[in-house]
Amino acid sequence: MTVQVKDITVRFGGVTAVKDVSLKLPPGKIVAVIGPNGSGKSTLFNAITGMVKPAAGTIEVDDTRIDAMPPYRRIGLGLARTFQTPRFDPKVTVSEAVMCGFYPVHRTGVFSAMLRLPKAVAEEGDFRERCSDILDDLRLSEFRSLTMNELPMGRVRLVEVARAVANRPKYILLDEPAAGLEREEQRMLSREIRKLADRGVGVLLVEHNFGLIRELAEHVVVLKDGAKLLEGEPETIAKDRAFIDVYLGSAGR
Amino acid sequence: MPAVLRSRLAPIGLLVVIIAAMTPLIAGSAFWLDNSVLVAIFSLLALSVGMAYGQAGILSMAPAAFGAIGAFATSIVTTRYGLSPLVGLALALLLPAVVAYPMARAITRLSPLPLSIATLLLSLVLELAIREGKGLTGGYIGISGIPPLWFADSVFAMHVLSWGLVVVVLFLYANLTDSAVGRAVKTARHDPLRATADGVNVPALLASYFAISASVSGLAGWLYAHHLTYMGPDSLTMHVSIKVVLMAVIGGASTLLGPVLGAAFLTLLTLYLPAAETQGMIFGGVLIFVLLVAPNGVLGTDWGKLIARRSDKQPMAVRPAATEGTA
Amino acid sequence: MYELVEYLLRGALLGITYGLLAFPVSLLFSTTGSVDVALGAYAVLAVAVAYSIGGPVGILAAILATVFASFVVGIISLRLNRPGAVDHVTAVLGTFGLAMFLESLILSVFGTNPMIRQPFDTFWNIGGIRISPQTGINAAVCLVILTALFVVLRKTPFGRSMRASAANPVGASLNGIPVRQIWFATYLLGGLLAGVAGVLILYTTGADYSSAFTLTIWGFGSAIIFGMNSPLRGFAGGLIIGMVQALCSGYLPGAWATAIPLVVIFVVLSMGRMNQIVSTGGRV
Ligand SMILES: Nc1ncnc2c1ncn2[C@@H]1O[C@H](COP(=O)(O)OP(=O)(O)OP(=O)(O)O)[C@@H](O)[C@H]1O
Ligand SMILES: [Mg+2]
Repeated sequence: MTVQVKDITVRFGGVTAVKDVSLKLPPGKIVAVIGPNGSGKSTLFNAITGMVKPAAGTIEVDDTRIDAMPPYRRIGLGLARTFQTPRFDPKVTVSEAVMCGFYPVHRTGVFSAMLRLPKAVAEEGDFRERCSDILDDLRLSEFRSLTMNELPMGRVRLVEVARAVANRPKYILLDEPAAGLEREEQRMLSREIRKLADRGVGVLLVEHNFGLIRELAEHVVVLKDGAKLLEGEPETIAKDRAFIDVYLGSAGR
Repeated sequence: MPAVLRSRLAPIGLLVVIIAAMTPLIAGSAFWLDNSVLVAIFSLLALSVGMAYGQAGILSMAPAAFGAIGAFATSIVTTRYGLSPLVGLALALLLPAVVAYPMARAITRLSPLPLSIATLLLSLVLELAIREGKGLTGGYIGISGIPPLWFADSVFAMHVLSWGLVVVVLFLYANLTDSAVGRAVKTARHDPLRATADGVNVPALLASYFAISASVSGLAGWLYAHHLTYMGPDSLTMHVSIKVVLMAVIGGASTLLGPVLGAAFLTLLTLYLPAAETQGMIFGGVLIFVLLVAPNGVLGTDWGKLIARRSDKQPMAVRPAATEGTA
Repeated sequence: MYELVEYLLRGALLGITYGLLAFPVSLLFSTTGSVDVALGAYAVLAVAVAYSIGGPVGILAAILATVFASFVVGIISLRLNRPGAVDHVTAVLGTFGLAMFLESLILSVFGTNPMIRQPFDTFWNIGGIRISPQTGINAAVCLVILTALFVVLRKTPFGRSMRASAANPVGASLNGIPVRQIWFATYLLGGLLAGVAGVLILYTTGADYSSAFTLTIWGFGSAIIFGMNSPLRGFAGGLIIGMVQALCSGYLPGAWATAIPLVVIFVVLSMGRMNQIVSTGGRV
């Protein structure tokens, strides 16, 4: 009952973006991935969700091999992700954007949706309710009818998180969700991530802010040039010489 | 009251009111009733473009071809086999979808652009097949004597029936747009990868949506055949397709009523246009003009914003947001 | 056997003009990511203008006319697209409108008659197969254009900018490459090439007002058969399409001869050659 990544390698032409990386994401745990720019963190996410094809390695979700599955089926199995550069339709409102996140859990077919059968009405109502709950949790309610291009970038990232949370995933992959957030918003986001984990969701988190990682993560994986440099608890990592050299440069000592 | 106006069904209510108000005015004139039926038929074709192009971003250059499939299907079963037009209706709804789905599935992986080319191919092949399929389609002569619908055997009844069908299609379309599927289609149009991350099987979804839109064209073809009682190789050609695409674009392809508005406008305009040869020039020219001026169409353009932007064209205009930021 | 060879040879010679039409398709697609379905209409316009004026003046006028027509498409594309915010589908719609406009213009001005000129009445005899010297001219023109294109794309700053804006429009425009102007120029170049193709078609097989979309399809099919990213492949694709057509008209009855090549192009489309380019690239 975990996401298990074994020896994943991803190549883009001659560049090896990820090299033999393994990691484990158990439900209810927060695992952080950290590393300098271009170290392959986002590519690792893309490989897990099926948006790039790994050259080698296997990925399992709850003992099901998923590395041959198309992305939408992986999402259907209970994965969810956000993008580092949020992808959104600028003309769509915040609540509509979050509503899009319910797609994997929708059950009404095309025909009952067209005819608005009671089943479809009930489901739509249920989604609206859950949508406003999620927006409440992330303090986005007051922006619900703004369009996405009217939001500052930090909030757009929060909407991304809301959209990923919407389908009640078992595992969620967040790519730098806290970038560009104000301190208060960061604190609120970290509370939400904690809540998610307490509900039993496995969270894989890419984050540059080590303070946040220390606060949230039980386990940290450090990538460098696509390979795993080391892993362990945040406290041990923080003291590690190699980590300090790579990540903070000599100034960090 | 405002809640009713904001509902997704409000535009449909508006249309019903307009049609109801128009009906007594034109009820006495066979000419206007006939044109009203044509407007309704073209509205259906244009709505099919609105669904495919306005919602899913699939530019179909073949709405008339799908219409022709529906029209010939019903013409053939009613004239050659003496079957009920209702059998024709079932075929007219089904066959276009059966052609459209595998076609879209085979071609739409991530970009709908190749599918546009494929619809062009379909139009060419179909026009060829209609001319050559003498035993079935009547070749160059076409099929005449298609029976009128027994449940709508006057022009007035056709007027009511065809607008009734437009309203039904609009209702289904509005519901679909405001559902998980409708939202996913819109996302996929804007950004297929985003939709994939939402868990959408983008090619399958777009293909289904395209198939549904083809069915709507087929429905229009069914009405067309039974209204005009004649179908020939020159009835629903690529020229009709461009006209229909133009209708949807002029009115606003992504809006609910835009295609209907465009259909009404262009059908009325056609009444006053000169010979058929020059019509392509007019339609093509107007299409280019509309794309240059208001690519989102009459109902899809925020005219207030557009005019405001035109009137303060100074590049360094002080915007309130900017001053707030620096203050 | 002898018959087969004859068909293949004739097809390949016919395919030269398709190869010429394939250049603008692949050029445009790899540079702007868009498709100009009016290409066939440009070619027919060139046919009509060169036919009615005649002589070298007619040829010049024909090419000017097509460049002007593609100018219109260039404007539409400028209006609709900018790096980072492209709407290719709408731009294609514009070219569809232009194609209809041109078709109807040609119909109203020049009528429905097929337009063809065959200046040669002596034929070459190659192993018993009679071939017009015109095909030699076609091949020579095509070769010259192919070479010129190669030089322009590989060796000039314009070609480099063109490839840069194809690979990454946003990045290129940030680096000061005038991406929109380059797109515009590509449309014009497409019009020019289609004009040349049209002139050759006038002297080879001829065309009438209704050939526009079929010509677009042949050019398009030629361009995708071996992948869109090089004019040379487009040329080879043209030869193949020409041969398929010649074989079909040799061995199949009437309408099938026209329909089967279209179906072949459909199959090629469904093999996803076009998507390969669209789906790669772009970090997420
Ligand atoms: N689609 C792609 N095509 C080619 N190369 C790519 C692609 N995506 C990523 N790369 C390369 O792979 C390497 C890893 O990139 P990746 O985006 O995974 O890094 P990252 O750790 O997420 O960096 P950042 O902190 O900047 O987000 C980089 O060298 C990048 O240039
Ligand atoms: Mg990254």
